[in-house]
Amino acid sequence: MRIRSSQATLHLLLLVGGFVILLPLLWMLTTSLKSPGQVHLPPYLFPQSFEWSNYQKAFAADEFSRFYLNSAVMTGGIVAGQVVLSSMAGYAFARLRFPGRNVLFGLVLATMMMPVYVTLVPSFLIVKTLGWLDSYTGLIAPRLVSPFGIFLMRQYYLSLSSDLEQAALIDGASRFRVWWSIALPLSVPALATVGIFAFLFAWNDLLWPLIITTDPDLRTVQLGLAMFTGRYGTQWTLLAAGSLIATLPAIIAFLFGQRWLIRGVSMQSTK
Amino acid sequence: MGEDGSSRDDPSSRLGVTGWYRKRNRLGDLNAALILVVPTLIVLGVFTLWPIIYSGYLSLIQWDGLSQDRPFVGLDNFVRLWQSGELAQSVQVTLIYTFGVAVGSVAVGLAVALMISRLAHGQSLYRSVYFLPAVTATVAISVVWGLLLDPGSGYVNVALRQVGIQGPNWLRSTTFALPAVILVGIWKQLGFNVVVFLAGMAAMPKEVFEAAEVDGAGGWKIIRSVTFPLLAPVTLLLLIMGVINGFLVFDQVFVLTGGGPLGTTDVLGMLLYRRAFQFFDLGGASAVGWVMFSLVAAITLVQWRFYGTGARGIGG
Amino acid sequence: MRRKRGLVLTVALLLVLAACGEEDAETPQTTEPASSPTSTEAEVGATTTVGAAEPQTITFWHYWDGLNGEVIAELAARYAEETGVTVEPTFFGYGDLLTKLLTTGGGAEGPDLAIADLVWMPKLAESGALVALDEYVDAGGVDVDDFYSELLGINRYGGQLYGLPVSTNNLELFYNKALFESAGLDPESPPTNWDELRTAAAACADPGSGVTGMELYTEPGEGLTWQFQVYLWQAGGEFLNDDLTAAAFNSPEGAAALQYWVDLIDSGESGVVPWGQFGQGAACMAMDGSWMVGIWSADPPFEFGTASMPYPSDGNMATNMGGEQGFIMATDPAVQQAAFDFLAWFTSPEIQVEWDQRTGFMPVRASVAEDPDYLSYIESNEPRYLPFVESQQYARSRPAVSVYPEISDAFSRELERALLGDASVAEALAAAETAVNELLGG
Repeated sequence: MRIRSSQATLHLLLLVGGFVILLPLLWMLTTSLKSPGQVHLPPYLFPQSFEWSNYQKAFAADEFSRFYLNSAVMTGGIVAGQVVLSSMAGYAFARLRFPGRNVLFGLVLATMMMPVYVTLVPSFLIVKTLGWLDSYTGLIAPRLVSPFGIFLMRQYYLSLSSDLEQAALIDGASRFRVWWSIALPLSVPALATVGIFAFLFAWNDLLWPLIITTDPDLRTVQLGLAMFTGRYGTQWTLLAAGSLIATLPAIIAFLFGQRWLIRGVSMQSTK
Repeated sequence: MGEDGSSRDDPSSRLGVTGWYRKRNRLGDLNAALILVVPTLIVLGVFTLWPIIYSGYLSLIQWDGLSQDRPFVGLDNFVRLWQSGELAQSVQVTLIYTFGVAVGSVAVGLAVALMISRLAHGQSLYRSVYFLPAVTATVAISVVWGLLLDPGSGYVNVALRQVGIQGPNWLRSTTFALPAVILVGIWKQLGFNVVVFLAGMAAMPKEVFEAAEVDGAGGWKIIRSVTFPLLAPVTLLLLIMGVINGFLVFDQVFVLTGGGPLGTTDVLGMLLYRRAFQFFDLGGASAVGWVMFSLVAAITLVQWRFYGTGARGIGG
Repeated sequence: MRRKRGLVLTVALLLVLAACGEEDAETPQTTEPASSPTSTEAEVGATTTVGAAEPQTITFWHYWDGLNGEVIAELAARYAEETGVTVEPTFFGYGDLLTKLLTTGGGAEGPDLAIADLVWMPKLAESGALVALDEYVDAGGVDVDDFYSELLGINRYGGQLYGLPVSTNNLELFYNKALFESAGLDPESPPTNWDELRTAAAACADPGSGVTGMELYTEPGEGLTWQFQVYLWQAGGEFLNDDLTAAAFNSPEGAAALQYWVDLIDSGESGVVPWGQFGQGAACMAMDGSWMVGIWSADPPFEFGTASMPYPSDGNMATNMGGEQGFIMATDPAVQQAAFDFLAWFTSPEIQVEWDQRTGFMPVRASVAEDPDYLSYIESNEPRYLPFVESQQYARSRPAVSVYPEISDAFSRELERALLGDASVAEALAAAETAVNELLGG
């Protein structure tokens, strides 16, 4: 006989837990809609006032719209780079025969185990030498490759049948051509997984932008938020609005890309 | 889908095509590989492989990043940081944080996953809700947790007062700051574990449960004697991944406490950041980086040891 | 042919990277090259005796946001109307302006005029980015003796004057009238000395509802240092010695001030809490700056009053002054003169009365502080500014040394140990003294 714990009890427990999980997000929402005078009021969880102007102010204050643009450019560049390069390298490691392939793939896998901290200071110095401090290039270029993305794409290509590709090869298409017009379109689901991981990584990252930008014009949303303290008093309602704005793209990406994300998580843990 | 999969799929070997085709194809492979792999190798080489070597060199010299003078000091960077007590404290704080979050999030994650797996309806909804923290920006969420943990008007202490408990000054207390940071870490890590546990449970063979039921086992007995053993490899894997993640924590500490009060939350990531970018002690910072690497490497070795078990257990 | 396509892709990728690098080399901030006075305004230039044409545009950087920013923009527009010289204000975040000024300092990328925190002066002067104003002051037009000497004195570095005070503020006592009342305290008679402050804090603190009696700034950083300096000066101590070469706070007076903080915390009258409790209605009292009057009165979260900061019965009245100074960074003499003219206009008593009334900044000139119009305006509109105005004469400035930010940081870190019970008062002060002297190169 299977466990017959009452479904109602399970729902109750999970709802209480879910409430704790969602509490910070709820707090953002209600506080961002308060007027400054209501900040100290006893806590409530559902908005009782709607100061939409807080969002407008948060955007105006401290160049938040500029931070948003920077985050968008940086994230766009990293996602595009990781998706394309992962597919290219993943395909090569899965299908092509070339000298040193296994060694190179092993090398890529090995870098996955390398904590970013080991390379942090030298990477900073290299970016500095290249003159890329305070630039989009500096924010994007060092993070264009995702070893996990390459691994994931390789696994995906291995799981695909290569019949179509063989037919194309016999018809005289080049390998590159086969990757571009056959393998790439077939691997959209895996590309989506790589893309959403790249998006979440880039949008939420703090450390790298923190160390390579000093120019406030190059600050990302997360960095702007971490430094959001006014000279003359911190404004809580704006802080809440700012943090909600900073979180929203990731939540939206999650809602739309859940399927691929959870797939990726499962792959990550069974690799 | 093992490492040998590629040769199976290699068209030339499988089709047994003629020699001229094979030859031409090899050449095509090499050209294509150049185009497809070289960009990746350039980026990896410049921003990962070379920095690893560079970092090894940096950890053995004393340098502020500017001066011409960069004396070789050997292992003195490690010794100096260890003797000043900073490194020892950071290692200790990092270990407590790491094991707190790894164990906490695996235990709670398992409980939540068990509950969700038993629901007749709404499984995917709960899974999404619990997974949400994993995708939200750590910075934003840490800012919010900081305000929730405010001793005077933060929701946490307000709630505690409702039940007659006087909450501490969480983030400004040498006793409670680290537990508070650990709780935020668990909050963030939980969803990932829930999703993986659920995937593991879904992959379990139904026959085992049926056999157990035939034997007359029920309720907790099945969970204890069937579910847990089957989940052991996944659990171990999650613990290891949690530990590796924990060693590398930075964002929430940077935002919540900045490593304070009095260094009680000064994890290795904070120490490295401060050494490198506030005190321009690049040698010391690189040394801290290698300490972090050693910790991760040690855990990875453990992971390799159990790797096979893990893969079999999930049935993959 | 096809192979080429792949190569093209690789090359294109690298090109994109290179292009990104170039794109952000150009700063989005539109700054006119300061050194090129436009030659087209010959008709305006006719009034000047100098050969060079009168510049028409002055770039001006500041960190005033909100109301302050609106008022300064309006004043700049009025100045343009009156004189034909356009002043272009550009806002930067507080944390960014100093970096910006130091990196662009004095060059064509930088501003002609900057208004910035007074503690930054030594660093900016040391970087060589600032123009000495002595010549321009000597040429007349500005009555410098009317400025509070402590405020003007901040701008002297290496025997030269590098800035003029444009706004100031100081720290006094804020108290929550509602919390006073519910604690049975008279909301109209705030404490006046240290003993009364402790008594009131003890009566008002209510740990059961999360209320702190007297809020102290206990997090490491300048916030702690500049608050503590008030108590130090009140007790009769000094922060550095007279020639700014060594720490002077490790004294009986310094120990008395730190002991007072430790006692407040140990007794539960204060707590080691994150700064900001008072603003959330979770602290009865706090020492904060005059600018908070404007912020809190705009949308009052609660009834509050202000008073002169209580001081020891056997001590002195003292407070710490903050505020901004105007610096000239233009390289062209004609632009320098134009920037100075605007600064002279902005710091003139008439404009200062209006500026202070509208923004809530404290007067930088004695003549403004005594101006009957100004005083009656304050009294009828916002009497909570009065304690700040009256105490301006006791305001002290932080030492003008270029390593002040580092000193402040090291000092606060050692003091935090005493506040958290990790070191005794004597130990903390001794350790802070060692750290500060090391930074001063002693």
